Amino acid sequence: MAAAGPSVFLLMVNGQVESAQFPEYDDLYCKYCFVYGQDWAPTAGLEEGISQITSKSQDVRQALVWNFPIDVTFKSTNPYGWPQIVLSVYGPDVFGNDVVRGYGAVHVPFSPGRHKRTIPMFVPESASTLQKFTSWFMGRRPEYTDPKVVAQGEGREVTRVRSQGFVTLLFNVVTKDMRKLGYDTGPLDTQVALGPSPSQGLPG
Amino acid sequence: MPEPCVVTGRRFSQNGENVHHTLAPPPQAAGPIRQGREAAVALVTTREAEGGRDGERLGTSDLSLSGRSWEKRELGLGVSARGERVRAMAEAHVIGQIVGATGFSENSLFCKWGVHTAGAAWKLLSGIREGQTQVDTPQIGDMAYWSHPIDLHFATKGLQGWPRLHLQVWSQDSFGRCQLAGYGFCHVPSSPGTHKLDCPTWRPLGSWREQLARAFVGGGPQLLHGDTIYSGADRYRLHTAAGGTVHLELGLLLRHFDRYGVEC
Repeated sequence: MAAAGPSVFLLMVNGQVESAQFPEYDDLYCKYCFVYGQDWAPTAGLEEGISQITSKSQDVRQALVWNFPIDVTFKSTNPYGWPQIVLSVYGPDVFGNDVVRGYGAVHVPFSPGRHKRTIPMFVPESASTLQKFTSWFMGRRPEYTDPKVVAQGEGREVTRVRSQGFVTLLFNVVTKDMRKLGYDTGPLDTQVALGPSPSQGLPG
Repeated sequence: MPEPCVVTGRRFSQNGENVHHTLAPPPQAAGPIRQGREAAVALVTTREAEGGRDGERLGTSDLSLSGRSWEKRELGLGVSARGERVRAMAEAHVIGQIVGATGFSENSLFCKWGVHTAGAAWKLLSGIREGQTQVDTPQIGDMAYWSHPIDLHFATKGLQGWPRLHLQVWSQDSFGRCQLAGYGFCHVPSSPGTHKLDCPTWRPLGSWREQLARAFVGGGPQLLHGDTIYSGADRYRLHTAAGGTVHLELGLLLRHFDRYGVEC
């Protein structure tokens, strides 16, 4: 019986974690990791990374720039469980402890081409005011035990969060054999920004 | 050989009588197709079962990866026990996020969402059909961000009952009490690719007494049956006011739709 063609398709993602906008915080670093379904497996590149610590520039832009490379290739038989990149941003608080400043996640785009995504970053928040003061004082903020929770939909009903920043990512996506397997990913959408631009969210 | 005239409509047989048939496959074989559809649905949902009955029914080539073997049955393609080629079903993947919401008067918002498909043509193979986002209190600007992932895998036999995403936006105050902020729905996009959707919302107004009570005490009328959100059947009874807008970014990935002659 002749082979019917490929049964596995490849997804190659490269790009960078470009920059962040956190008006209230400085000296931040970020960690990224990929979350994917059971049918996916990374074949090349790094699934996780930690960036350098960056400070706000002295000029009027107040930019926080990481320029941190991302390079990974996945293979899969099923688009269900499409990889998501999960970002966690950390920084020092007033007392010098390392606390979380934001979590965010976005699906890797599936049309081949160049994509820019600006994602909101949020932190879990305590419900009671006393607990908020205690955690500020002790330096132990609420954080997720496993940042991969951010990429899942279940179990988020009971969490309160506060969104307090944005991170801009740049992706270049290349796929192999998706069309041979019958998948139609639509027209290439290059340079689409996710959601309203940060200038709409920031005051002034 | 009867040709399908309109994909979503009737298929006329040779002697002119209507044969109601949605999403008619290319007229080649009738028996293996039915077997193939059921096979595709059954096999894709039971991919954890290795080998056994499914293994001998399909091709023998497999690709093992870290101890799991990925066989051709993942794609719904292969060869039946009688040696005829089974045909693959049309599949659709909805992959994206509920990004957030703007325009609501309240600050701490969360969203209950669900996906509804009318009729029996669409079947959800993988993914969670409904859920609830986290409660977000924005510190910057007025947009509440949820970034709630949506990943759904449908198999379909027809175009009717295209999936609809329905949303209920609620606000939660510092005491933990929830109040309805708006209902809304939008169809899952029908062309492949990434789409940014803005879903407007509305909330039912009550009598002037109920509106006054809502302003002071909170609460307010809610729908008794959730299906009024996405169906137009009983809407004429309602008097509503506008809420804010929910922003979504949904990507649609289609498979084998072109084999059935569907243009999208």
